[in-house]
Amino acid sequence: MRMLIVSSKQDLQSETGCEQEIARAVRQYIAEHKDIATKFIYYDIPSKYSPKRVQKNARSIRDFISKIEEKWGTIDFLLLLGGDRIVPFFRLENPCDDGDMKVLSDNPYASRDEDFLIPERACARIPDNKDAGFIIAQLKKKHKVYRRSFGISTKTWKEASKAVYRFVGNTRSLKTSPPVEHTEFKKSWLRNKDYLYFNLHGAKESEYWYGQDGNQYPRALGPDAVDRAAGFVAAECCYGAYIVRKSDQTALALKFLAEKDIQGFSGSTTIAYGPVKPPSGEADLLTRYLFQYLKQGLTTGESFRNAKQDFARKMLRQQGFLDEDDQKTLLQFVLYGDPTVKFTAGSKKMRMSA
Amino acid sequence: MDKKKLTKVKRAIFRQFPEFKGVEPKIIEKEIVPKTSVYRKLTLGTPPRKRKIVRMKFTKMVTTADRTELERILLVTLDEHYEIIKITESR
Repeated sequence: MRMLIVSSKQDLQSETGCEQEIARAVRQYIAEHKDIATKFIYYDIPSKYSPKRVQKNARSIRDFISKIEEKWGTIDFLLLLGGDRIVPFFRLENPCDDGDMKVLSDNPYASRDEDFLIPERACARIPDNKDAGFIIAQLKKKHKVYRRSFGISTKTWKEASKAVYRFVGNTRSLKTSPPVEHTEFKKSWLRNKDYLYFNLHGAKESEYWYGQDGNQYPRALGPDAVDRAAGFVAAECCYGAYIVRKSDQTALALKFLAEKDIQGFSGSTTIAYGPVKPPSGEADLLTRYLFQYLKQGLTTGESFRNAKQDFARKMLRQQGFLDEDDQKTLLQFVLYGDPTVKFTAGSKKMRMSA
Repeated sequence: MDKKKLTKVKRAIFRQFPEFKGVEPKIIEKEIVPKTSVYRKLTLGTPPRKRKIVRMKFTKMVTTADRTELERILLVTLDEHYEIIKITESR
């Protein structure tokens, strides 16, 4: 197994002010995870893989990764270290006719060919939140297994959400909004959990996620309710993983990742889609597969990659094609956190072992 | 496009989703050509022949309790016989 960690020395320094500290933490991480052959490479420093510094654009960085793979061998795990200003997201054509001009995506980094819909590498990103400590903390996370989950859905999508949540939790415990509103959201609901599931509305400019019942859209969750949260977060909300020019005060994705015991975050960078009721489709189906693979003990990166592959297979078998919202689902969902973390069948959560 | 059949579908959608009642959908007829490269990548064998579908898109701006604007989108996919294949909503 091989893992490549890619970043920019200059931008890591300009965004966090502590590039050296981060580099030290990455070296320590590599030393502690000898079961995976890992390389940490700055794309903006000349190396044996590129005699010149690589330009900061997604296409050039992707080509650089391919060059490394040609010389080094198959890259199983790819970790992009930093947010959009350090390792830019791809800005892809939006297959859907909706309010998004482009789809922010990491799929091309995960794909070896020009067909970006289907990822082959287990790829994840550790955003920077303009804070070296935030990045370093992601590399040092450890946690216990609690065998408990939390899920919340809009009231409107309750049945659709149950079809997803049943793979990690008891559907009778699935909460809905309304009646749950942000002011009554108990912080304890997010503590001591393995999986946190959110099937709520989201908006690009808001730090809140919303419930729905007919024409009512109450606030369901805001950053202030996330305190000592634990587990893996799967959020289906529109813009749930949108982090450009945001911080842990303005993006729930970053707020969750800032928590010591949050092990990863899957979400959408743009307007996401899902069915109103079962059977599961789009974001619901992708999240369902992700949960199933995590429960089987695969790493978060492998689970996320396999979920996308299975989602595409299922839709092709069922419909004979991937329509616009299926394609957008494949491109828009991103994984944040260490991709080698896994939940084993035993009592302890461990990292990847050979 | 068969306007009579589309009107029937619209009525059914308004019954199921009263919040979209009165919204005039954008309707597009599309020919779907399966991508051979995706089938190959997923080792799925030979892609099926191309087919026609109809997509109806209902859009509406709504305001949340804290006055944030959300674009609500309801997508309805119909087969060549105007039967509903799937209904999808923005999250």
